[in-house]
Amino acid sequence: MEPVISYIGLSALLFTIGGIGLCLRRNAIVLFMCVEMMLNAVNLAFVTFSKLVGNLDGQVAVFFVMVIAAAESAIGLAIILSVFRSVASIETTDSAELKW
Amino acid sequence: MNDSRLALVVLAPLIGAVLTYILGKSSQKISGVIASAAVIVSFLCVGSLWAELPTAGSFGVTLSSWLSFGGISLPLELYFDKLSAVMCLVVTGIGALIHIYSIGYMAEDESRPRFFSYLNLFIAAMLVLVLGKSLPTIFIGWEGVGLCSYLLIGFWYTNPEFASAGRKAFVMNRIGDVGFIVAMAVLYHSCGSLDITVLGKPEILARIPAELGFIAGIALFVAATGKSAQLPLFTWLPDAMAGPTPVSALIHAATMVTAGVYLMARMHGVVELDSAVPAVILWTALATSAIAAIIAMSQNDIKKVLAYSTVSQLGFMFIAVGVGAYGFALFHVVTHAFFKACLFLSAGSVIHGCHHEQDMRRMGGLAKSMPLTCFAYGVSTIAIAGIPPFSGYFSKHGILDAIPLTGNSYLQPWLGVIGLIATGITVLTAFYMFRSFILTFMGEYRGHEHPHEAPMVMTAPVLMLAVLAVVGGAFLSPIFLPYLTGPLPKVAHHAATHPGILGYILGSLPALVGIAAAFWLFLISPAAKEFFRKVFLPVGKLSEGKFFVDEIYEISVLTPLQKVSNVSGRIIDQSFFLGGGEALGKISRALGELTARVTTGQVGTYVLFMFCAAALFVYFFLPVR
Amino acid sequence: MPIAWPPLSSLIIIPAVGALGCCAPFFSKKMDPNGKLSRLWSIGIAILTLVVLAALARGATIAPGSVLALEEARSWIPSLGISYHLELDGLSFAFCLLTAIISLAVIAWSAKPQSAGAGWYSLLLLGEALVMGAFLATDLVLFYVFFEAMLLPVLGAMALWGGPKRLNAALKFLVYTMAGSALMFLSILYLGWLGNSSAPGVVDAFSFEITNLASKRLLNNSQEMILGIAFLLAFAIKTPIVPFHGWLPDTYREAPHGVAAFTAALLGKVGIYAILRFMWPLFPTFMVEAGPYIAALGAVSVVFGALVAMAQRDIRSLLAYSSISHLGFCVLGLASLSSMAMTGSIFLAFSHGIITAALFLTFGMIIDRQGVRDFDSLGGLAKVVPVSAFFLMVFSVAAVALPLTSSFVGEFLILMGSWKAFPQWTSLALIGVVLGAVYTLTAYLKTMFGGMRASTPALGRDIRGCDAMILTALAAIVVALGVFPGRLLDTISSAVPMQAAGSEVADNNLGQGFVR
Repeated sequence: MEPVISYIGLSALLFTIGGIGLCLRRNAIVLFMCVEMMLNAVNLAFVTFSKLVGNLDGQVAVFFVMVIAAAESAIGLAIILSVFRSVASIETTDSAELKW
Repeated sequence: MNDSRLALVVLAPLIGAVLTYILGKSSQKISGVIASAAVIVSFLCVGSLWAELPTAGSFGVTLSSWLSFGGISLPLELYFDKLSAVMCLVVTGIGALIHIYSIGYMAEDESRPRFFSYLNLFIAAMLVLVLGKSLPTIFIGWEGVGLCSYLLIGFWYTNPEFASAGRKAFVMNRIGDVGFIVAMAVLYHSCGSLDITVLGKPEILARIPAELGFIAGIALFVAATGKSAQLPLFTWLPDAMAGPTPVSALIHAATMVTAGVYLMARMHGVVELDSAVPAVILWTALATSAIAAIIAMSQNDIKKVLAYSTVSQLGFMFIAVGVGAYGFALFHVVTHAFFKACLFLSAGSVIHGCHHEQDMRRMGGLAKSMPLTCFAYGVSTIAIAGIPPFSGYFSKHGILDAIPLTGNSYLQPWLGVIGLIATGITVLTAFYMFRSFILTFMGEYRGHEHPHEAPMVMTAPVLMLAVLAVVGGAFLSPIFLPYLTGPLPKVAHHAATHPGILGYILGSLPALVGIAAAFWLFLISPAAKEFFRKVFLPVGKLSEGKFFVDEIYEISVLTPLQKVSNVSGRIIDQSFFLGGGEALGKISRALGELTARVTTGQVGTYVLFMFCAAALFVYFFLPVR
Repeated sequence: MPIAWPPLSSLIIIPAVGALGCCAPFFSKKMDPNGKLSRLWSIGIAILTLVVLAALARGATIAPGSVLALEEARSWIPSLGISYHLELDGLSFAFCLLTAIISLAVIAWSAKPQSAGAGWYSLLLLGEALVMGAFLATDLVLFYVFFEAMLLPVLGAMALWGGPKRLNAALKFLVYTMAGSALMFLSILYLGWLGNSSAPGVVDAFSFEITNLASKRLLNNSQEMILGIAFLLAFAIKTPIVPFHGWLPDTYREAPHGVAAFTAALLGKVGIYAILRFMWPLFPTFMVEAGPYIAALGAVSVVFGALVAMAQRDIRSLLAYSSISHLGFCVLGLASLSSMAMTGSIFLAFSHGIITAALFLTFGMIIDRQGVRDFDSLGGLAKVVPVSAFFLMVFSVAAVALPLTSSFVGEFLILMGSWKAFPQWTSLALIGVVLGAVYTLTAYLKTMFGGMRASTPALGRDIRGCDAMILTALAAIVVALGVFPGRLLDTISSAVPMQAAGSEVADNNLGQGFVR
């Protein structure tokens, strides 16, 4: 049981780091990386539990997550790029027109 | 008995009104002829119906089912009996004469078609009033004459004062109308019907509870005070003189203003339900009559004198109503219609002849230039003063003689006072009427115009009315009261109709006193006039100030009403109701702005909220235990 | 109840299709620059609607002794028990007729906002369709949908072509009415839920059908009170009754004249209609118990509206407050437990619709032509625009309820009927009768009579052509209904006793004397 704890612990640690980064950082690229980190933390948890339970459902889910993460990074980077073109910055504080 | 002639009585002037209005400017010349013809047709119909009345008993016709629906039956019906016959004959007969007179009087006015249209409409409405079989039908006429009165007073509407006088008349009449509506509501819910033939039956009236009987009677009287210019609603009538003079003669002397008397006579069963009501009527009438007579003494506008005289004479009619002598009230309506219409039309001829001068101080000596008019005015003045055998004597003294015969327990202790005041009013009447006659027709001419006699089309009707004013009373006196005993209660009147020579002399004594005083003060001895003016200074001031009734209304009603209206509009409505809504809106907007601060626009904040929400969700809903 | 042919939906569909048709390319600015084509098209549609309505009513009552009652029922959202149920009885007919007439008048009225083209007519026709729907629907949810939706075209037209403060006014109008109707919607849902929970496990038992709900008698007294107040609030705001009238002055001042006429004549009437149609059957106990309070609100509205109207300088504000005053009579009548007064209320509502629309349109034209909107800078116009002056006189006289005009019939029946139940409130309302004469005649006096003001530009174009025809027709309706109100009264009263059946009050026992 020990290794499971450490895997889950690592997953939780990564997720938390990603989450805190998401809350505190302003740079869009960094935010993006934080999201990726959280996704990978979830992936790790999936694999761990898959191994623990003994069926492949969790590992299948990981593939879905990876595919979607790839698609997301493609779209996300494109958005960041076009935001940079119009605002000349990727700091999220600089593009806050939609707030009240 | 059903007869469609009765419908024609009303429809003829109505068609005339529509026709003259539609033809408009293209009928400048013939509008007067059309209108007069319409009224004459109406008069002939009334005459033929009246001739058959003794055999038929009464006529009726249904014009529309009107307010009838479900279980409610309030049709628009006309009803012709002796009482309506008398009123109809007066309205159409005198109406026709005044229409003919107007052809001459209005000859130079460009808006003649409009004038004759309104005048015809008035005749139609007045006929509905006196012919209506139910109170709502009477109310149609009641409001209709009010409307025509409003339109005709403000006929020369470009003068804002004239137009305001029209509005004043309408609004004051409206106050009376409220009384009418209340009376209808009470009677409808107590008796289940508003038909005057039903409401005439004692067993139906017995259904009215005692406290409501008082309300119904007073409400009817309030209605009458509005239309017939009694206290406290009489001030519109003098102002109504802003209208063309034929209008004053027809509407504000002969017909419309007597509608209240007609209503009282028609609904006498209701009026007498509670004997406090006739007492109220009597005292009000007495006060009105006296006040108006005093005011009339100091007026310089010839039409204003006649207007206050009308108010005073109407008061006299209501005195008769108060003591229960409805027959004499109506008799006075008829004779008053004769001589007052004649007076107004003569005054109109004078005004016409003096080029629209109405101030008696700039008249005088017109007897030379206008002999026919002077004759008509003179005999009418004698008639109104109450000298036998002129018509006014018979009706006035009928009323004076009826005062002691009243059976009303509220009034009996006061009969002496009432009789004294009424006699005093007779003296004043003779005085102020002869004052106006002397100032206008005798002495030297004081104006700067060249007065001339009116054309034939005007003098002919005036002279016809003058004849009626002279002989009408003596002729009608023996037959009038017995004729009306069917629809009206039988009054125990003694043989006032044949008092003998001594009786006539005694009866005309008050009038003679007044006449003598007028001649003495205004023709013979101006010094005495000055003396009396000083002696009676306070009364004179009251009289000249018209008892300050208008001012009292200004202070006690109009200004407060304006204040209330302004307060309601500017303060209560603006700041409270509208402002309240606005305030609610502002509060919610402030709340919104407060909560909007949560959305910082920072991704971090949103993510934090998301995490917190997720954590709460997990804590509360995931079944992990 | 017989099924109608053509279906009742056609009364909604025809104007709706007409509204859509206005968006067709050949009504665009290019093809139809002055909007003449689209005006003709819309007039045609409005006339068609009127004809269909008349044909429906005629067909249903052609047999002697038959009572107007047509219906059309389809399922709409069966799983929630919401049905598409329309019904045309005497009550609905009066208001549908009013809708058809007023829509036609407003559409055909030649004066419209300057920049308005086909869109103007489209919105008006859409408004007609939705108001018609509200007067026909008997399913509460369906009614609610129409009740809310009919705001949209009015708000749209206001926002597009209104006065300088139009957006503020439109927002106020929207928020006020939404506030009321949101509560009503909650109450409707609660009613449906109550109906359902009486039969557990059966989803089909959901029903928002008014007769269905009324016959079930679901509510106890306190529930009736709460729901009744919520409904009443919605309708009181819509009518409006003092003190819920905050939206009214701004709306009537800022809306284009046609829209103001449309709103004053029709939208407010939905409140009057709904009190009788929905509140009496659903909350009979509440209506009887709250009767004195509702009557008091009505009477206070009469007097307060009149007092405030007297203080106004702006013609359109005066008309707005006079509406409050007149509709106060209707509310008084509706609360008064007398079928006579209720019939009178509906009749007065009908009459007020015609008169107020005519006054708004005519005064609107004068305001536009003279370029000023308060009396103090107008005067003596009777010489300049005699035809307008004539019509204004007719409608002013009708507004003060002179006999032989339609208003008198309504007002008289209300006063007679409600005197029995509420003599005190009726007396209060009678003060309004006098004040009504004061402000109406003052408005007339200040604009038409007197001398011309130096400040009066006097453009001098009088009403003519199509507009004169419209006013003549409206005046003819007012007078005809004043002299021969029997048919319409019969039609209305045939539906009224059914509505008020819950109160078990009829004034047939009038001979019984004065009973409090």
